[in-house]
Amino acid sequence: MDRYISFFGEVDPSRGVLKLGDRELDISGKALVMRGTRGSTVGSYIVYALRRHGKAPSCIIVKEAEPILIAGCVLADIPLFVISDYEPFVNSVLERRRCSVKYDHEMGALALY
Amino acid sequence: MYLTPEQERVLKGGDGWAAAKALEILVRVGEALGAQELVEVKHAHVSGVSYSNIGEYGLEFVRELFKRGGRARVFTTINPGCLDYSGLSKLIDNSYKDRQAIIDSSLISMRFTPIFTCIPYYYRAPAPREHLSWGESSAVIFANSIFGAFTNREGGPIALASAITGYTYKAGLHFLENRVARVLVEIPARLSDTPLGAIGLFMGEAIKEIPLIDFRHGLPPIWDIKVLLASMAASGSHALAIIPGITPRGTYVIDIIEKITVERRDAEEHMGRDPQRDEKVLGYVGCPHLHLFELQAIARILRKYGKPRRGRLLLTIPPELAAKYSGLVQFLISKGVDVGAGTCPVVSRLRSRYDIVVTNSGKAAFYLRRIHGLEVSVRNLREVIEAVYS
Repeated sequence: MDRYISFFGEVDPSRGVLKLGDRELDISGKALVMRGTRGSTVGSYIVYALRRHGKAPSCIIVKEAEPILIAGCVLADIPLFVISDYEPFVNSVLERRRCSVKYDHEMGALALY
Repeated sequence: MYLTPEQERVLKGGDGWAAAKALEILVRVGEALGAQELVEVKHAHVSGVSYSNIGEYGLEFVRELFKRGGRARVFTTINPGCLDYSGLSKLIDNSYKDRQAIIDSSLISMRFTPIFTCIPYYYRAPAPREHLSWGESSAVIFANSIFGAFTNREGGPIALASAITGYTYKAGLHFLENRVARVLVEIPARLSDTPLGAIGLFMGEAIKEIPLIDFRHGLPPIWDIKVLLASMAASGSHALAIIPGITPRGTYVIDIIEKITVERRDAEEHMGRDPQRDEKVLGYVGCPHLHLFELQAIARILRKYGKPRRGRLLLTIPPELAAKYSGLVQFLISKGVDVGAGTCPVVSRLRSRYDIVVTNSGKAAFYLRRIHGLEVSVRNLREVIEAVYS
């Protein structure tokens, strides 16, 4: 998602979907990539609710992390990655029809498969 | 981030899940904001507890926090909720009271002090240079500017995390070198009748640095300064304003690089229009909540008037005031005033529709215009009363 998402208002935690206009995107169990988050502090509780309903993304990857998102991910035990070279990463993802992401602890880097 | 052995112990779960998660939030957010250590706080003020804001997911979260061991480790107070705790108001919609009561019961079980007000500095006056972790932007700017306390504007879960750990991350306004006034703002004597709520809205938008405020006609009463600061904090992200003669020395640094003079037209952009003769007017005073002396002053003014002529005057106050000064509250009610305790129209809903709101609060105007789409005029206190009573 090449935009800023507001968890409060744009995400339904009981179903694990991201709502954009008419479309709905299933985010549960997936790596959610976006620029960052915005909006109300309630967003933290929505992220937490995703975990409680078993609909949490496997990880969240952003360009910028703000306190509401960080707090939500801590509470929900969702790994949160802030990547400095966001644009190249997104381009690599978009080049592939399907891909998975893996975190290398030693390198402190995300690898795409 | 450097952590003490005690902080490490809590982080690893030594005080249960809630405290461990809370400490982790503070560490992670702190690291993202460049903090190298945590700091002990003396008072946490938790905002974001109104059911009309946080809904079922917020309610579930607060309950979980209590069930999984969350307990106040430091004096903790609570912001207004979405119901009128005195039961006297006819204007405040109480339909969420059962849901709010569940949130409140979890907070009280966690040993948070249920003051339900946005003026926690009247319950425990902060000391200069004292580290706090407060949500509620209007309280933060007042604590920093009037008391010289050291707190950032902490969003929702941060102040909550501070409440159940006793710490916050040491960054931003916790350091003297970040409390630097760079813009000199002159409010000329010719603006002495201009509503400070409107001036505050202008200043919040126009000024990005910490201001030093020079009132050329002399210091206004503290209640008006409270409204000015709250308005600045609402329309901009201000957490500190230096007011010579009030802000304790040793809690700020002056390094002025710019000067701004506020003009009448700057305020007028935020004042809104006058109510028309046939409109149903809601006069609103009490954002931030009223202190006892303000309530008494309003009662004195109202002695000269009869019944409301168009619409109603709504006042919002802390529940404790409604309980302790019931005679004063009854007098106001006898004058047709509606009194709401422990809440406000920003975090709750009104039962009636009004054509226009007239208020002295720039903050209320900011939110009522945006959240409820209401037409709002920002005026002086006397003008607010006259809009309803004369």
